[in-house]
Amino acid sequence: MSSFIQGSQEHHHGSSSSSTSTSHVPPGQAAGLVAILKDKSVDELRKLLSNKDAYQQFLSSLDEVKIQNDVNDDLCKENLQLADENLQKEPRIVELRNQNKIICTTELAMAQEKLNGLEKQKEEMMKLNSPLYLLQWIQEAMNKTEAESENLHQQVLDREIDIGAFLQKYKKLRTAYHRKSLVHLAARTSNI
Amino acid sequence: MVQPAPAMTQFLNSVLSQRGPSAVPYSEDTKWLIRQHLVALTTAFPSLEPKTASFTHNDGRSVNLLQADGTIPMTFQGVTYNIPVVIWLMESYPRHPPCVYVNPTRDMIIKRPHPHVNPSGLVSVPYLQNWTYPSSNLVDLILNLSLHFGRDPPLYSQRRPNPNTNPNPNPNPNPNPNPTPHPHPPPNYGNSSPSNLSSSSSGYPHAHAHPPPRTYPPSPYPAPSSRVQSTEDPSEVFKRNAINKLVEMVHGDVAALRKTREDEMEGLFSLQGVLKQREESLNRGVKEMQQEMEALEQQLQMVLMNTDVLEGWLRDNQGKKMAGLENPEDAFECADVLSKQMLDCTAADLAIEDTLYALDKALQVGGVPFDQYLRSVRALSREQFFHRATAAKVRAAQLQAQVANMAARSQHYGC
Repeated sequence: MSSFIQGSQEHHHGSSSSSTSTSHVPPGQAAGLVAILKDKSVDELRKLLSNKDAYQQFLSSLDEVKIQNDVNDDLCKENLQLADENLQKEPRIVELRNQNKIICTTELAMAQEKLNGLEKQKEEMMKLNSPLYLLQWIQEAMNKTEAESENLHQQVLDREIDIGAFLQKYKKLRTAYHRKSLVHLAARTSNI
Repeated sequence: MVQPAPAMTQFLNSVLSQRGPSAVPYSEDTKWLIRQHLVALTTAFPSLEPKTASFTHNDGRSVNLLQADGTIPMTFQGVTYNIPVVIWLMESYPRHPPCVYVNPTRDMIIKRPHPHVNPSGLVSVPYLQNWTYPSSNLVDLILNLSLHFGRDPPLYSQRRPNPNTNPNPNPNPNPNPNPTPHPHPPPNYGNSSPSNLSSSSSGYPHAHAHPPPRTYPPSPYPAPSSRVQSTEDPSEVFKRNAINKLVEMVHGDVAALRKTREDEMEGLFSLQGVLKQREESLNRGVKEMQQEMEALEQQLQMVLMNTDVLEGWLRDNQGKKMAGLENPEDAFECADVLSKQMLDCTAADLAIEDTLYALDKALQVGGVPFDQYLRSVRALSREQFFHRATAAKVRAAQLQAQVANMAARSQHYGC
């Protein structure tokens, strides 16, 4: 084969990161692992290769694995906290529901009932004092007075009482009648 | 210093695209692959740096070629060493393998004999002998070399690195422990074997008066060292293999663990989203119930207040029943005094009129003596006159009042 004579050559050896011969392992990761593993004895290495528990323990002690586990644990804790907060709202909701039920079924219902009773009384009172009722009342009084005067007139025709007493009593009755009649007429035609 | 990737890429683009005397003699259809190989090499092994240099063949031809100059990391007995090499990409690369030379510095010696490195430093390994285009590449080549060198290091450091005192004590101890180098005294006096073959490297020792410090495996030639090495070899080999095995296992497990964790994290993030939605829903529900309670309490207060108002009104108006009046017409009042007087006179007038009518009826049926009739009519008529006269006066007064009101632009009517 050919031997070479280099025209110009520089020995330029930069600082190189050490790595093992493992083909697909990234150099950084491999270097870190080799730095850890080369301090162990042959027996320790054999133990790691054969004993599953020892290997798992070693794997868990790596920084990369710890970081992943820590992030996972943090997220789990956060989720648990959210779930706890949501569960703690249940007593609050139950309390509010009970209070609303109490207000609806007892206090408000009783107060409403009392108010309805009072309004009924008021309506009756207003009815007894309404203008329509009063007019009706006057009409009834007029009819009563008219009947009395007619009765008295019949008595004098039958000569049951003397003229003097009749005249006084009859005049009084007719005055009352006409007063009622005039008031009734005025009230009915009034705009008030 | 390790060149940054962009600068290295720019360097390669510049070199491979050059024309004229300084052009590199690679065929155009393979330049892309050469570039890929060198980029991958420097990515995996930053200690190797692409360069251009002049290569002289045995027949005296000089040609400008690409090379990768630097060190290859290897692990020997659990320790990592860096073997200086230079990798020439010949004209026929990548269809044919590159030429790899171990490039010792002044304080190291090529082990002889070595199964993969000849005294000139040329490297021969199965990977190079079985080179296959286009699957073979530089990264796999270096990994393969690292394995071979790890099993059998090609270099070791000299016992006495002092160049000044080198000629004086050298002849005396050399023949005794090293019978093999004795037939070749000229290489020992020189710096390194390749340097002798290079006429242009005559200035080599002076240019590198201070080589970078590094440690290399001890000499295997002394009998005690050889014996010690043979004793430690099985455990060291096992240790190296165990470390390699563990590194691969850890890498695989870490990758699998990362995948598992990522899936778990996705699940946890989804769960967190659901929990937050539920939290918002619960907060909204609580707020609505609070608002409902407040509304109910307001309604209760309103009802209680209305109840109080109504109770007060009923209490005030309890004794004001119109039904208690003796005369129902008292429920209505006249607008003024004149109106009331008018009402009374009119009622009396009409009453007397009715009484006179009744008296006539009694007379007709003989219930009343004539003298008493006349006397009663006279009295009633006189009374009626008084009422009518009063009514006339009242009406006149009312008329006057109306006129006054009309004059004052206001109207007022009595009942």
